[in-house]
Amino acid sequence: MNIVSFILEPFSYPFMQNALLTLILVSFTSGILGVYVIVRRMAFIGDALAHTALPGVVAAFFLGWELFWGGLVAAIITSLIISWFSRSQEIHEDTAIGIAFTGMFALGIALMSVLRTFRDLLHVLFGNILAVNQNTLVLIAVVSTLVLLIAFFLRKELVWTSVDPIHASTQGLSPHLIRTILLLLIAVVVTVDIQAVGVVLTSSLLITPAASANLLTKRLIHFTALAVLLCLIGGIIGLYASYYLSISSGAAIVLTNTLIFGFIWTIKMIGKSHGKKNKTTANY
Amino acid sequence: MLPYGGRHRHASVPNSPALECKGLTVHHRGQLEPALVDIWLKIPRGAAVALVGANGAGKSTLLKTIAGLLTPSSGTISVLGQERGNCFHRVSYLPQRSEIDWHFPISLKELVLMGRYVHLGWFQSPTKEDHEKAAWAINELNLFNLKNRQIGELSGGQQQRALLARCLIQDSVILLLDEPLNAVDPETVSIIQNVLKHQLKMGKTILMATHDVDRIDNPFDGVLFLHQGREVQPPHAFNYPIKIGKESFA
Repeated sequence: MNIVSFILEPFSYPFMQNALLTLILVSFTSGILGVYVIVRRMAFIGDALAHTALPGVVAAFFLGWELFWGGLVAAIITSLIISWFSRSQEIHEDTAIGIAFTGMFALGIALMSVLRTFRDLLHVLFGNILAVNQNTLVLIAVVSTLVLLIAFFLRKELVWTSVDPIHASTQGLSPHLIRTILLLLIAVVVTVDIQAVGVVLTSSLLITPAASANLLTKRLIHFTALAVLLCLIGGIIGLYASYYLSISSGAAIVLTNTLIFGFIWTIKMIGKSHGKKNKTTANY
Repeated sequence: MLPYGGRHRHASVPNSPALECKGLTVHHRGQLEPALVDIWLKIPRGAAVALVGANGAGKSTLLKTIAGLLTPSSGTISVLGQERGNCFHRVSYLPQRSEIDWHFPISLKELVLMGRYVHLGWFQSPTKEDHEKAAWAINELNLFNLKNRQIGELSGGQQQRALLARCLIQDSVILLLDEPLNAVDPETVSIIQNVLKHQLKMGKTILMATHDVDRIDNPFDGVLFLHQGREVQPPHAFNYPIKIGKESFA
């Protein structure tokens, strides 16, 4: 097999073309929102929202709805609950997230066992981007465009309330409102991501590429572009790995992202220790 | 323009003081002991006033309450003769450095530009004029060579100057400054003092918190001493041209 057919062959199949388009959409939404998840130290929330989508997905499956909508409703409800707890301050936010996260996920597992749907919903837990059909792809495209438009128009407010929420507050902008909007956007994005890598691994699409990008730059615009790019690169390599090595697509994508992070981190650490050595030598 | 918080921008009431607090008592959330008790304050326009007291005296609480970050349990605040909140765009607040996420990947110039956001409101991006104002303020604070540096890579003094530059481009008439000279280098102290003197000449009103009595010298027109949330008499004889505490209401 020559290199051209190695590259092109997987995408001669419609299911791989759908997977690639899904991946492109997911990379933009996850990469851009992942930046805010990282800089606002909200990694735990991303993971929690993905897990809390499970009972919604199971309920949707039972009722015969599109699974996406079930997951979305559950994730949105959870994000509003988290937002309410973080405002009331009666319970620490991470405690509230921990309770909602495990409680909702347990409810999802319980529903799956009651409805005996473990096998039918296994792809929801671990994802199968290769199973995304035309209808779901259109749905993902519409939802992703909406998320990107909102994130674009609110970019000034998102940055302002991330850097200095107190200053924003003194000028009449409620950091709590922006945080709630951000949580809702993350809820939508994790529901989309579930289609690609499943409930269990979704947070890695939000967190790992953005964390890798964070190691490489200190400018927000570069950070965002790199997060999108790394998410896409990790996803495409993952798709090839899944195709040629016959491993689960979700796991392949997440593993690739993790390896990219490990590679960048190692290079950065080596560069740092070299820099230190050179500095010490120069001092002598 | 779509203003934040749906607030309206009211014109100031002619001949009203810049700031007036009457019987202000403030509790921190969940605490029975008040952080401020019965504070009276009247600051005429164009005056420079120092809030002096040890750590925990209530200086930051008073500034935050005037800035709209805390809600008083009792008492009233008026800004330029209007209810607090109606003139919020005319008041700029310089927080303590520790209250900002300095790791955020933005440059000094982008931080300073935030001073213009109140005039832009929802969805609007900074204009050429906003960028020019930011460049002017960055120059004033002697930060021009650092304008593209990530904010976390600045020294403490440079960060403090960046925050003051952000206050300057807001076009406010009242500056609330929380310990701007605390733990900064002598160069920064000198630059900030010069800039503040210039602001006073332009008719701005300054209310500045400090725990260091030695910092109080000629630029101030009045001083309010706080101890455990209450106005107290100065520890030794100070002679300032205007009374701004409870006496000013007598």
